[in-house]
Amino acid sequence: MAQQVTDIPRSEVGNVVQDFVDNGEEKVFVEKQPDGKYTVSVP
Amino acid sequence: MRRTIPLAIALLLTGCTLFSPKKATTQQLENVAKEWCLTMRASQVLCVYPLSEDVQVGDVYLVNTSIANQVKQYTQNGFLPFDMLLTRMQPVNYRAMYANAYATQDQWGNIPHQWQFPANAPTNNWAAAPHAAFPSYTFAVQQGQSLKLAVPVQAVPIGLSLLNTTQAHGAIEIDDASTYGIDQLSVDQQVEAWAACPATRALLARYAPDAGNTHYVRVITRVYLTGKVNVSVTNDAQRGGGLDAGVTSAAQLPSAAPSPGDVATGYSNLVTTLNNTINGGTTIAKPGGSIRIAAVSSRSVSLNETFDRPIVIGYIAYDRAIGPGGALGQARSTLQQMEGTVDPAPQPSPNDVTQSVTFGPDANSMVIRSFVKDAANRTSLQNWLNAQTITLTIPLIINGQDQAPLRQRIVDEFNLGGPCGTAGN
Repeated sequence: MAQQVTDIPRSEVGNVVQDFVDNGEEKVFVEKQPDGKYTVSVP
Repeated sequence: MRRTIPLAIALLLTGCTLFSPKKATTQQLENVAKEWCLTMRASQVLCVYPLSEDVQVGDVYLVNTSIANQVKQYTQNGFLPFDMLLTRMQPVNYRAMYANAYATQDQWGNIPHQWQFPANAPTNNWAAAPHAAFPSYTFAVQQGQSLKLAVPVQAVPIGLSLLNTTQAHGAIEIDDASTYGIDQLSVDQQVEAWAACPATRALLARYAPDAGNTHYVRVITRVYLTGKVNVSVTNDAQRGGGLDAGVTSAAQLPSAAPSPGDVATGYSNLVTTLNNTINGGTTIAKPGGSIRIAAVSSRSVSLNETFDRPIVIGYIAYDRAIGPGGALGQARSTLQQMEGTVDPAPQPSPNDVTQSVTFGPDANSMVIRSFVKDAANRTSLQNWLNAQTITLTIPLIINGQDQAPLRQRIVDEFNLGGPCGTAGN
């Protein structure tokens, strides 16, 4: 099942990506939202 | 009289065949089911037909037909046929549901078998389960329509045979009824966890919407059982039917002007003889029961049918539509869908397909993040989440705004301490 974390400040994106990588995800996507925050997702 | 006794036995032996649903047409059988199931529906319960012991809370069935077709079927027949059983889950929340009541202490993983097959006991213990009650069911029959009143209990055709009548009315009382169930919230978490497994997802994906046809999973959350059915049949005919009234003659009690002692003795002997005849000559299909005549006269007979073990007569359930890729949509009550009070269970929305959280960590997030840096700790946490049937992944738990209560629970459960730890470290 796809997962995503939305509304992430730029300074926290690295931590969230690392959480997914540590959990065994091989592909992690980062997308910038219109409001300037970020969405980190895995397929 | 001597000639009538063998004939009476023959009549009893053939009685069930004469009134057997096997000899009925499909239309008659459907009418049979509908009449029986109306009693269940009046009690806001979906009907099980044919009766079965093997329907349990936590059963997940595949429903192959659309809600519209099911409504049509339900309206016409009064019941919904069970399709394919996909899995049987053992609900994990029985402890919160029943505490230690109803003989459930330390039996959380065994319900309902501790009622069905109690240890060191020769009989079942359904009497300890939560009780239930149903209204009685009345019926009428005329010549040529006798099969239409038949219900899935054997006492009715036997009663009709005894009276040898072409017109009768009667009542059926569902006795010794019991019930058990589970909350939808907890069982649906189990369904989510089950549906997220790759093998399950692959299976469900085969039933994704196809050319407008939607398939569903149906989850049983409560069942109702009965251990005994009381049947009374009264002869409405002015005269008997075409067969020799062997049994009816024997049932014409009391005879004219006997002494009071003769009446009592004769009546007792008659009931005993009939009971012996029934139980000696009737083949009981499983799940079976024993039938005893409680009272008899020339115009009426009352019988009690007791099942070896209680059987399920009704249930409560909810449905979830199967979407593309095997994802499940939001739940809807099966009964409410059939009654038209809610829309059919919808297809899964993007939010159902994707686990999404809004970023919002707290102090516990850093504590948990540090804890799961160790692979063994991560495995321990994941095992605990699985045991709690929590499908949210660890990254989402760490970072989700709405996951603060769960994070606190984890910190306390694993005694992680930190600024928010309440269990000490």
